Amino acid sequence: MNAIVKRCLYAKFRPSRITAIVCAYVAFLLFILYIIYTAWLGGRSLHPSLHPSKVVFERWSTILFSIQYLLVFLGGFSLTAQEVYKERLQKSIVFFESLPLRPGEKLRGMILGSNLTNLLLILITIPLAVISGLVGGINPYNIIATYMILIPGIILVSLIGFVGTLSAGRLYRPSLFLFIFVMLIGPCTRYTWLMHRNIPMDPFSLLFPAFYYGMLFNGEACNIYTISFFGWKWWVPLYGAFMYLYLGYWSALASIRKIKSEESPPLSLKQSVIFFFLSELIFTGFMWDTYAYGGRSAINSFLSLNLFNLFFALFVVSFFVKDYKTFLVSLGESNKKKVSILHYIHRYPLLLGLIFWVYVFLLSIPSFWLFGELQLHHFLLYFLRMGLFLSLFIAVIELCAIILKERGKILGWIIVVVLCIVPLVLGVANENYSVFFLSLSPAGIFSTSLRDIKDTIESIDLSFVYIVGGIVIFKILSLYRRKKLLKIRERMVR
Amino acid sequence: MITTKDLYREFEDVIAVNTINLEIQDGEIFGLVGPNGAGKTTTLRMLAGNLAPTGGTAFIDGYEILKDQVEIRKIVGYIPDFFNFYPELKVWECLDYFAEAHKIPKESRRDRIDYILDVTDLTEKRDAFIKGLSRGMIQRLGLARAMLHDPRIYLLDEPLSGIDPRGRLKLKESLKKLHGERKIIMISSHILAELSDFCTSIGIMEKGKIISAGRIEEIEPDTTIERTLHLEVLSDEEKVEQILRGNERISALEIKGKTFTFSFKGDKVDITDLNEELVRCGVKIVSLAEKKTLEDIYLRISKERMS
Repeated sequence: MNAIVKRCLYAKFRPSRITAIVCAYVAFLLFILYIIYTAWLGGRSLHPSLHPSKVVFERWSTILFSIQYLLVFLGGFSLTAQEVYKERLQKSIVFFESLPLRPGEKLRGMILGSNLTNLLLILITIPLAVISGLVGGINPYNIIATYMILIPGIILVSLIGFVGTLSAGRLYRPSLFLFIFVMLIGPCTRYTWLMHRNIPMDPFSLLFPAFYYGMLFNGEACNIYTISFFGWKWWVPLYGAFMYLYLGYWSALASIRKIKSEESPPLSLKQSVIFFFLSELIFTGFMWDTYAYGGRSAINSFLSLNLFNLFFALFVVSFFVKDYKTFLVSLGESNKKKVSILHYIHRYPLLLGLIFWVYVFLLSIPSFWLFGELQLHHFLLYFLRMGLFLSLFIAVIELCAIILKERGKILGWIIVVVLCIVPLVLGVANENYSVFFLSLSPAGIFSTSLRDIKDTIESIDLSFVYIVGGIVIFKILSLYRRKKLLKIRERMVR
Repeated sequence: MITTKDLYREFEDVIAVNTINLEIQDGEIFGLVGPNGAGKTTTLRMLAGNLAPTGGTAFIDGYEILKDQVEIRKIVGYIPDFFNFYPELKVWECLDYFAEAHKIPKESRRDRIDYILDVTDLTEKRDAFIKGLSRGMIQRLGLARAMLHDPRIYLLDEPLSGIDPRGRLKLKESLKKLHGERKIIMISSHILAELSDFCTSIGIMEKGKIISAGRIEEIEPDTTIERTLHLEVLSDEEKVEQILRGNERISALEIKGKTFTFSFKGDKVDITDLNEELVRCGVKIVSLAEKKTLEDIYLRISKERMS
C-alpha cells in the first residue's frame, strides 16, 4: 500500500469518525428524499398522470448528481489543497520531502489520500444516483456523460489543488475562492450553456464543469451535441474527458517537478513551450469549423480564442519569470556554462512575447485566408494590438516579480485584473465593448477590433497610449532593477 | 562516505553555502559548528536531498544528491532543525507510516518500532496522539524516525535542542553506539559543548564557508599560540602563585583553592619546562593539563581568521 494513503487512512478512517460521517451523510440524503416526497405530495395535483416514483426519483437523482459534482469539483480541489497546506502549516512537509518514494508515488499518495473521505461519499452516492436516475427516467447517456466528466475531473482538480498549493503556499485560500468562482459560478452565464444552441460549440466554455452540470438538466443535450476537431466529430462529454485528462497530464508533470524541487517553476522552459504550442494546436483544431463556416461572425470566436491563448501565454510567461529570477542568480556562473537559446529568450521576455505573437499569427492566418471574408490588414492590425497587449502583461509581471518576489506577483496579477480583465468583463456584461471604462484601459484596444482600418486609426485612443507608455516605463524600471540586482550579487560574491 | 565538491547555494539575497569541499569517512562523527546563519542547515538540507544546490554537487555513498534523491533517502536518516509530525496520528502509527515508506517488512516492523521506541525512551507514549507530546518528545520522535530504517548515514540538524538532560544523555549514548557500528554521523550545532563529548572530527563554518575541517587533534594547531592550562597541586599554593605570576608566558591567572587556571603562550616543550620548574621548587603536582574544548578551538580559529 502507498505509505501516504496509509497515513491518511490512519488519520481519517478512525472507526468512530468515519461511522459518524457516513451516518450523517446517508441521513442527509434520505432527508432530501423525504423533502422531495413531501413536496410531491403537496403538488401532485399538477402532474396526476406521472407515477410518483418517477417524479420523486428523478428529482432525487438530479440532486445526487449535483452533490457528486460538488464533491468532485469543490471537494477534490480543496481537500488536496488543504492536505498540502496542512503539511506546510504543521511543518511536517520536510518529512514528506524526505520520503524515499518516487515523485509519482508521492503524488498518487497525496491525491488518493487527501480524497479518501470524499471518494467514500461518492461511492455511497453512485448506486443511489444511478438507480434512482434510471427509475426516474433520466437518459442513460446523461449518466454515462456525468461520470465521463467526474472521473477525469476529480483527477484534474486534485492535481491543480496540489500543484497550486505547493506553489502558492499560504495563498491557497484566495486561490480556492478564485477556483470556485471560475469552475462553478463564472461559466454559469448565458454566454456558455444557453448560447451553445445557436452558435458552434465553444471549446473554452466546454472546459468548465458548469457546462456539463447544465447539460445534466437538459434531457437529450449531451446525446445530440457534437464538437468538431479538424472536421472530425466528437461526442461533447468525450471532448470534456479528453481535455481534463490532457490538462491533468500537464498538471501531473508540474506536480512532479514541484515534488522533485519545490523551488523549480512548474514547467521547464521546453515543457512550457510544448504546452503552449500543443494547446494552441488542439484549440485551433476544435475551432476549425468555426473558422470554416463561421464567416465574418467567426471573428468573435477568433477573438475569444486568442484572448484565451493570451492567458495561456501569460501563465507560461509567469513560469518563465520565476525561472528568470533563478537565472539571475545563476548569472554568475553563466560564463562557465553554455547558455542555450531558450535562456536568451527567457532573459528577454519581450522576445518571447514576439515569438508567441508570430506563432499565433502564422497558425491562424491560413484558416481565415481560406474561409474568412475579412481582409489581411484587419488581422495585421489585430495582431499588432494583441502583441502590444501581451508585451504589456509580460512587462508588468516581469517587473513585479523582480521587485517584490511573491508579493510582486500578486501585485502584478491585481494590476492585470484591474486594468485588463475587469474592464473586459464589465464590457461583456454590458454587451458594449466600447463603454468608457474599456477605452480607458489597455483592454480598450480590442474595442475597435472589428472596425475598418480607417475607423480604427481615427479611433486610436488612450488605450494605445497606456499600452505603449506602460511597456516603456515597465521595461525601464525592470532594467534598472535588474542592474541593481546584479550589483548586489557581485557584492555578495566578493 | 560523504563528499562535497564545490557545494554552493545561493538564495536571492544571500550566499548561504559558498563552495564547500568536505570528505567524511565511514565511522566518523562529524560536528558542523558555527554561529547562527553560518550555512549549517542549508548544507544538511542539500545533503539530505531536500534542497537543490545552485552550484557544485555532493555524493553520499556514491549517489549524487541531485540525481539519486530516492536512493539517498533510503540510506540517510535526517533530522531537520525545526519540524513537527502529524498531530492526528498516534506515535506508533506515525512510525508505521515511515516504516511503510521505507518498505520495512511487515513481519519485523512491529519489533523494529518497539525497539526504536525503547531506544528513544518513548515506549510509554506508544499509543499517545502526537498532538499531546511535548517539544522534547517530538524531538525524540524525530530521532526515532531517523533511526527507524537503520540508515548508514545520519544527518542531524541541532538534534539536542529542546531535549531534557536525561534525553540528551540517552541520545549521546545512542550516537556513540551508532559510531561503534561505523555509521557516519554528521551533526550540527551552534552549542559547541554539545558536540565536544563525542565528535571525532569537526568542520567550522562561518558565512557559508568551511574555515577549518578535520580531526580535532589535526585542526588544533600545535604552535606557540595561547592555550588554557589547568594545574592542581597538593599544597604550597602561595609558592605556586608566585612562580606562575613570575612566568612571562602566563596570563589571566585564576585561583580556586588548589586549582589554578591560566592562559599559557607556548608550545608543548614550554609546558614541560613549566612542569620541571614547579617540581624543582618542591611543588607537589596532582595534574597539569590543557583542557581542550571545542569552544577553545573554534574561538581560536575564528580569532586567527579575524586577525
